[in-house]
Amino acid sequence: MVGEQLALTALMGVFLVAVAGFLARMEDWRSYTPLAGGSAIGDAGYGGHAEKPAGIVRWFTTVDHKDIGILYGIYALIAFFWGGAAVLLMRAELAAPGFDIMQAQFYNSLLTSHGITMLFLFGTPIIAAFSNYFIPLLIGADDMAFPRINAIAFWLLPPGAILIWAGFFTAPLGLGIDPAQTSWTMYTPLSAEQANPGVDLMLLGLHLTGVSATMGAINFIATIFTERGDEVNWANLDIFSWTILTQSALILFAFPLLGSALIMLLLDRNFSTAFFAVEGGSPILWQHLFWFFGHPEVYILVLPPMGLVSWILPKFSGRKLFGFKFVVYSTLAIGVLSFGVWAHHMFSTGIDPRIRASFMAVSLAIAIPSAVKTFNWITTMWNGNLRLTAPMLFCIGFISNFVIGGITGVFLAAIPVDLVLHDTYYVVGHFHYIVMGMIAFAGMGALYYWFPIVTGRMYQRRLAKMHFWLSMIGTNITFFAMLVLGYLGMPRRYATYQFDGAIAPLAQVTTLHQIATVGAFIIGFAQLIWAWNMVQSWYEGPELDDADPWNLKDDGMFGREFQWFETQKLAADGGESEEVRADGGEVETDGGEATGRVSSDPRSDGGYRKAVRRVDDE
Amino acid sequence: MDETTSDDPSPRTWDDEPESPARTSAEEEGPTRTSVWPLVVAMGLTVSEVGVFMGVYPLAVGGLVLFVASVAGITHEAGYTGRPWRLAGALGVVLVAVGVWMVSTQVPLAVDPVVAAVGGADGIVLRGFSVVGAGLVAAVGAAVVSAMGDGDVDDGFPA
Repeated sequence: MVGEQLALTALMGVFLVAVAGFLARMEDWRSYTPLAGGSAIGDAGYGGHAEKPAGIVRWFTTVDHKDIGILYGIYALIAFFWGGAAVLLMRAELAAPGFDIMQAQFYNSLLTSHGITMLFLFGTPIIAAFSNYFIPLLIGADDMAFPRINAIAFWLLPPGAILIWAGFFTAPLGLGIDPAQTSWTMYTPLSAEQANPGVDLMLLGLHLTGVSATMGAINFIATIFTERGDEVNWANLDIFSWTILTQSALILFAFPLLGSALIMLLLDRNFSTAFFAVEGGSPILWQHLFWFFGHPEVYILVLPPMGLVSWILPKFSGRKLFGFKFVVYSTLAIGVLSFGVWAHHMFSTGIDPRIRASFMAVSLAIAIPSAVKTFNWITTMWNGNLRLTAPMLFCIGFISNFVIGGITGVFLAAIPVDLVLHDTYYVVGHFHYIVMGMIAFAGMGALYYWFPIVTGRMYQRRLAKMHFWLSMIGTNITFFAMLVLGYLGMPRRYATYQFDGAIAPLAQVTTLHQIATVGAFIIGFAQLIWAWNMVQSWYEGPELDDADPWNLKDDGMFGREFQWFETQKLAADGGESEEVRADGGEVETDGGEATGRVSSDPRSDGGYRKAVRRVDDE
Repeated sequence: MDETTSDDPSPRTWDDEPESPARTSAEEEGPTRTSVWPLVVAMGLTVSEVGVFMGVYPLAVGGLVLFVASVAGITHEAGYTGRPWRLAGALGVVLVAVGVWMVSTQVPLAVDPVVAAVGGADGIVLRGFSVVGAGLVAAVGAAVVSAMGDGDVDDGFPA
C-alpha cells in the first residue's frame, strides 16, 4: 500500500514537472508569428490565426471561439463513433434470442456507455460545437464573453470521457475496475450497490461534464446578453441564438442539480450516507432528482436542433421562417414547461395518482408549442421554392421523424397507455426517433450547411445525399421496428429474449429484432460514408469561388454568418471590394450594367431585406 | 448615381479586433486568442477530484496544487489580479481550512484522536490531511516564489 502511494507520488511529481515544462515552453510563445503553419486542417475557411502558436500547441492553447467550436465538434464525433460502435455490438447480440456473442454483463456495460456517451458526450458537445462557432458570428460579437472559461469548459470534457469510459480500458488489466452497468439513468439501489470502482469513475466523469456544460451555459447567457453587435437587438436576434439562450437557462437550473445528485450517490456508495437507501431518503428520491434534471435535459438536447432547423429550413425554402415570433414563444414555453413534467417518467412507481394526473396534464401541454413549431416549419415550406440540398433533406427528415417521435411521446404521456407500454421497446423507439431522428439529423444538416464556412471548401454532394437517404431509411427501419416490438411487450434493457411464448410471440419478436439490427447497420454504414465525405472534402474538396455557396443572396437569405465569411474571403483574396461589399450586400447587374444597390437591413432571420433602387428611377 | 452606397461605410472585419478596455498590458503585447491556463485548470480540477474522492493521496495533493496554481495564473492573465502569488497563497490557506474541517467532522481536533484516526487509516481523515497538505504546499510555495520575484511576466515565471 505504501509502495503504491510512493509510486503514485513519484508519478505525480513527474506529471507536475511535465506541466511546469509545458508552461515554461509557453513562455516564448508570444514571439511566435506563424502565418501559414499551425493548422491541422490546411487553409480553413476563415482567417485570423496569425497571432496563434504553431502546430498542436495552437489547439491546446486556443481560446478562439471558432477553434473551440471545432474542438467540440471533433470530440463529439469521436464520442458518436464510440457510442455507435457500442450499439452495433448490442444490435448484433440482439439479432438472435440467446447469448451469442457476449454475456449479459458486457451487454449492460455497452448499454450504459451507449446512453451516456450519446447524451452527454455527443449530444451536448455537438450542439456546443455549433453554438461556439456561430453564435458570436450571428450576434456580431468578437468572441464569447469569457473566452478562457469557454476553453476550460471544453478541456473538462476529454478527461470526463476518459473517466466515463475508464472501465473498458482497465477491465483487461485485471485491476478490478470494470465498466459501469447502471444504465444511463443510474437508478438506485442498483447503482448504489454495485461495488465496482468503475461506477465511481463514471460518476466523477459525469460530474465533470456537468461542470463543463454549466460553465458553457453561463458563458452563452452572458455573451448573448452583453456581447451583441450594435445592429442586433432582441427583435432581430436570430432563432438559433434564441434556442441556445433558452437551452442555457435550462442547463443553469438542471445541471447543478445533477451534479448534486451525483455527489449524493457517490457519498452513498463510498461514505455510508443514506440519501437513496430504503431506510434513508429512499430510492425514489433518486428518480425525482434525476428526472428533475433528466427531462429538461431532453429539451436541452432538442431545442438547439430545433433552432438549427428553424434557421436552415427557410434558406432552402426561399421564404422567411413562418411565424418567427411564435417559434420563439414556443421555445420559451417548452423551456418553462420542461421543468413540470419529470414525474411522467415515474408513472408506474406508485406515486400519488393526483400528482400523476397533474404531470400528465403538463406533459400533454408540451404538445402544443411542439405542434406550433412543426406547423410553422411546414408552412414555411408551403409554396416555397424548395431546393433539396443535403442540409434541407436533413431538415425535412428531422420534421418527419419529429412527427412520429413526438406523437408517440404524446401517447406515452397518457397514464393508462404508459402503464401498458412502460419499460418496453416502444419507449426506446419513441426517444430514438427524437435523439437520432431529430437531434442527430439536425446536427448533420448543420454540418453540411456550415461546412463551407468552416473549411472554405464544398463537400461531395452525391455522398451527402447517400448519407441522408441511408440514414433516413435506417432510422425508420430500426426505430419503427422498436415501436412494434414494444406493442408486442418486448421489455427494454435485456441482452436476451428467450422468454416464455406466453409473454410475447417469440418468432415475431425475433424477426423484428433482426429488422432493427439491419436498420442499425444501415445507419452505421451511412455514417461511414459521411465520415469519408467530411475528411476527404476537408482536404481535397473544391475550394469555394465566392462566399455564397448556397446562392442565398438570390432570395435575400444571406445570413450574418455568411456575411462574416464574405469579409474573410475578401480579406484573403485581397480585394474585389468594388463588386462585393463587406456587409454582405452585392451590386446587382442587369445586362452587364450596374443598375441598383442593396441596403443592409438586418432581419430576425439574419438575412437582409433587399431594397433595390433602380438606376433609371434616378 | 451611387451604386454601392452603404449604411455602414466601415465594414467590420474580425481580424481587426476592437480592443476591450479591460485588456491587460500582457494581452496588448501578445496574442489575444491563446492562453495556456484553461487546459491546466481543467487538468488540475480533474486530477484533484479523482484524487480526493478515490482516496489516492498523491493525486489529491498534486491535483489541488495544480488547480490552485492554475486558477491564480489564469486570474492574473485575465487581469483580475496584479500578482498571482497572493491569490495562490490565499487559496492554499482556504484548502488548509477545508482540510481541517474535513478532519474535524470525524475526530476532535486534538493530537491523540487525530493520531489514532491516522493510525486506523480513517479514509476521511486521511483525505482531510491530503487537502491540508496541498494547501500548505500552495501557500508556502506561493510565499517562496513571491519572495524570489515580483511575479511580472518579465521575471520568467509563468504568470
